[in-house]
Amino acid sequence: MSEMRKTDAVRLHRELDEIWHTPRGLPQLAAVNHTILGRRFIIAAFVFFSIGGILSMLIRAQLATPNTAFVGPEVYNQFFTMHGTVMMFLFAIPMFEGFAIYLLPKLLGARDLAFPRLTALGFYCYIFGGSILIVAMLAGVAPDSGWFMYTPLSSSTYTPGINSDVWLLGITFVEISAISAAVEITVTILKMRAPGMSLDRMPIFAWYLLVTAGMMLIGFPPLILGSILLELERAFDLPFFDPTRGGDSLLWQHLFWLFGHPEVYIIFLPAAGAVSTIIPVFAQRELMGYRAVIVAIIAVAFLSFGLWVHHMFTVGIPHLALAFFSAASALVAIPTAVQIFAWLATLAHGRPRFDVPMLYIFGFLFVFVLGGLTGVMLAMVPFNWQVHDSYFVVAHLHYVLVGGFVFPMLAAAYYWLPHVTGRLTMHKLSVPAFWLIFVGFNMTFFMMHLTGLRGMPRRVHTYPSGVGWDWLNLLSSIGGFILTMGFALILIDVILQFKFGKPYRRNPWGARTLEWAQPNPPPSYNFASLPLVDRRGDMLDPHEIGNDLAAGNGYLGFTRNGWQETLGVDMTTGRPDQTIVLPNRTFLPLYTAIAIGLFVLCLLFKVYWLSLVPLAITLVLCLAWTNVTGLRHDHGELDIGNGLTAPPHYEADGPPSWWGMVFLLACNGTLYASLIFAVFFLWLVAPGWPPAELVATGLVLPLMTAVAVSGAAVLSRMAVAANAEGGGALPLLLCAAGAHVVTVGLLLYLIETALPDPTSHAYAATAFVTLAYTALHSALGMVFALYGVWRIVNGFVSARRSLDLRIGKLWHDYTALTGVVGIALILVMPLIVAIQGGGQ
Amino acid sequence: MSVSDTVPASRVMWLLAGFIVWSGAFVAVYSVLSIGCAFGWDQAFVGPISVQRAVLVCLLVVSLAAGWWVVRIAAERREAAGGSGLALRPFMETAAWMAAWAALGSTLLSLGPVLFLTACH
Repeated sequence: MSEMRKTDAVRLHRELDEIWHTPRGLPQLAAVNHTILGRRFIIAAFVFFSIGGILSMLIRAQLATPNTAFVGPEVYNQFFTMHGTVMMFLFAIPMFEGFAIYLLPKLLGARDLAFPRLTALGFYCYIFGGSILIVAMLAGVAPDSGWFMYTPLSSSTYTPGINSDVWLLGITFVEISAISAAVEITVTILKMRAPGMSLDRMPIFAWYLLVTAGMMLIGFPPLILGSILLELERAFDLPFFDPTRGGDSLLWQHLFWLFGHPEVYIIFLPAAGAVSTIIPVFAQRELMGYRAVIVAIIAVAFLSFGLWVHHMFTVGIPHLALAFFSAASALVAIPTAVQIFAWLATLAHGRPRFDVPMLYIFGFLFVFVLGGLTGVMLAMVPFNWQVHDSYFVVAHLHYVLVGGFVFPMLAAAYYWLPHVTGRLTMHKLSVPAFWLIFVGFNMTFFMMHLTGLRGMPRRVHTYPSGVGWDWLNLLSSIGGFILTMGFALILIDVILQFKFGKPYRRNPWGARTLEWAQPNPPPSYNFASLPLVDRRGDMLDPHEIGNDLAAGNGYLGFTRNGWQETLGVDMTTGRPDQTIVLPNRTFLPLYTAIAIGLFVLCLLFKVYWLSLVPLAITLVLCLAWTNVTGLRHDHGELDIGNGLTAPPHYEADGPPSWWGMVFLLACNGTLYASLIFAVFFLWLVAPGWPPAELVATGLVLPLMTAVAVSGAAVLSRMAVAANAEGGGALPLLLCAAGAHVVTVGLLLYLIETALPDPTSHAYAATAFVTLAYTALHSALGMVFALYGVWRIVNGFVSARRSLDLRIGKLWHDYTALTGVVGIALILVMPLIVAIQGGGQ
Repeated sequence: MSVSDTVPASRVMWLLAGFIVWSGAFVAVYSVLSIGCAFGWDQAFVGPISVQRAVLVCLLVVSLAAGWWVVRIAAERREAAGGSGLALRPFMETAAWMAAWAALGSTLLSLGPVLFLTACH
């Protein structure tokens, strides 16, 4: 080992590259490397952005003049629905994910993300889900109910074709990618930073990404639940949103905007993170108010979850409730302003120098501040009522989203493109491209404020002449085409940079973050050795660090057993506490995504019995992922260089996969909480309550179910404890699996015998979903328990190596908790309904 | 290894504590408002004020008290950690204190309307 460490930089590079690189050709489909997948995410997101852009051109062509017969209302509905859907779900979120996936390990001083195969799965789910939407559009059956899919328009009564199913299933498929990215980013930031990078030394971008990922874990589940419920309504007639059977279309709006408004900040915060990273580099001083900015990000994250009803001010909610959401909507401007003032102060106190990224930062500040101001206007209820569903709102949302995401991302693209290409920006086309985009954007969307104030409604395929909208719409359309020319120039500029840019070695901007300590383009393993960070992560000297790391003088500056190694650290202090062994490239993520894709297609084409086949294949493939994980004997402390040791992560207390399960369950718990919210919302608000028939379970069977599901958790805990003492876990896990079988059996019996027909009333439908949720989790709990047995039998588990059992324990605990809550809900609801028949 | 402080991971939660209280208060007040309106609490009176307003104001007071408690704890921890120093522990404690104040202000501003607006119209 010590000989290996003495090897020269070139030899070390070759040895590491041999382990980490992905060969050309077919193995590229098996790539799990974050650099490769980050680039693919970004490219794919740009392709979808182009598609969304073309759709916007078609929209502007249609609206350029009054009474246009370019397309009819049916096609126009598909255009604007797909434009919004593509831009929000297939461009903005994946583009941010791509940036995070590409940059994060480099920024933190790690060799890859926490779950490389999950990154690959997320990428394929994104591509396949997005492709379903695009193919549907080409086939003329694209979603056409608006990007927010409001019921009852999107319900089967008014959209009987598969248009809405395409959206519900395609977007849910894509959201697998978003959730996996959120888990990945959270765990990577908390556990895989460079040694010494305590929380107070994290580069500010990492704080932004951490908060954003946390928001995704809480923000996406309500939409996923809403999509599942609406698809269940469309496919099986369960009336969650049908007011004639105890449902309520407003439930959809709540679930959608519970996701939809945080989504705006999920898009904005990473872009603001890029701004907070770029401005200090060009101001040539560190970011002012680092700590205040972190507090502001946290405040934005929380407050953004208290604003969703400002999208629903006109639906008839009590004034007092409107006041809560109006106040929170205005309040969120304060932490946003804190960030803006921090950026301005950084520029004011620094020695700013101009370059292309700063030009786009200027565009961001100008456009986003205007969007923020109209946002405060829209937060005021009386004004909101006046301009609701008018083009004023279209103008506002584009100022916020293009200002808050596209301009900063263009700045980020010009800033980090040399990192990707290893070539310097040409600058020939980027400046005129900026002015075309800036002028074109303002020309397009500023006019929409005016058309909106003059009363032009959104989502109309044409408008009459002579009502004062003609010339404003024409100018908007001309501006739109100018804007497109700007983006075309950027594309050409990027291609030119790839082909003709001037090569350089390291850190062309004089930046002070770790990603610039790498040679560019970056090697497959990121860092030949991992750095020790002894000051804030955006106040480093990449030149000095880079040479040192390349010579192998940091941590893990050697190879061992052909393992892909990186370090795990204590969450707060950054002290190394484990050697993380990452999995190599594999086709399993691709195969798994294909299986999930087939499942989605079966649902889409309503061959439900056949969908069980790809579902089973997916489960088998997921189990196959574990073939290459784990160790068959204890390794103890491993040398990590510089006199320190750390155990392999399989033997550590809090390895990434354990934390991954914690965050996944937190996300799942939010989905479950949204389901409980739905139950109470319908009881309180929906018409048609109380239902004619109530659940009649008696007490014995529900209590037996609660005991069985809790027993599985207790047995699992006992198994972990027994394993820690040297053995005896196997029979306990078998008993836990048995308890889950009993739970599933009892739940199926309850569903079959005690529930009213789930199609009869929303009450019965929600009861059905609540019990089915626990049954599904208990069935998977059985798989977890049997998996633990299999791992023990095959020698992957010892007193030190108990990770498989501890991850299972988390699942069993979660299933027991939600199961007991669900059963209590089933028992309590008939009593509540009997006390008072809802709000009607 | 240049790590000056040992700060347990659970301490990170204190960064969020103030806003977790805000979230709980927001959900509680909004839920109770909906329940009260459904059950007609705004039509029942306790002395000069409706049951609905009495319950909502109580909730606001409890929320502010909880937020204030978080501020106090955060302030004590900040003081114990050495004020506004830049090592990990003072950094975390000061950030938690700032977040707690921000959350307390947010609670007052976003839920304050329970004091004067009509409840169910």
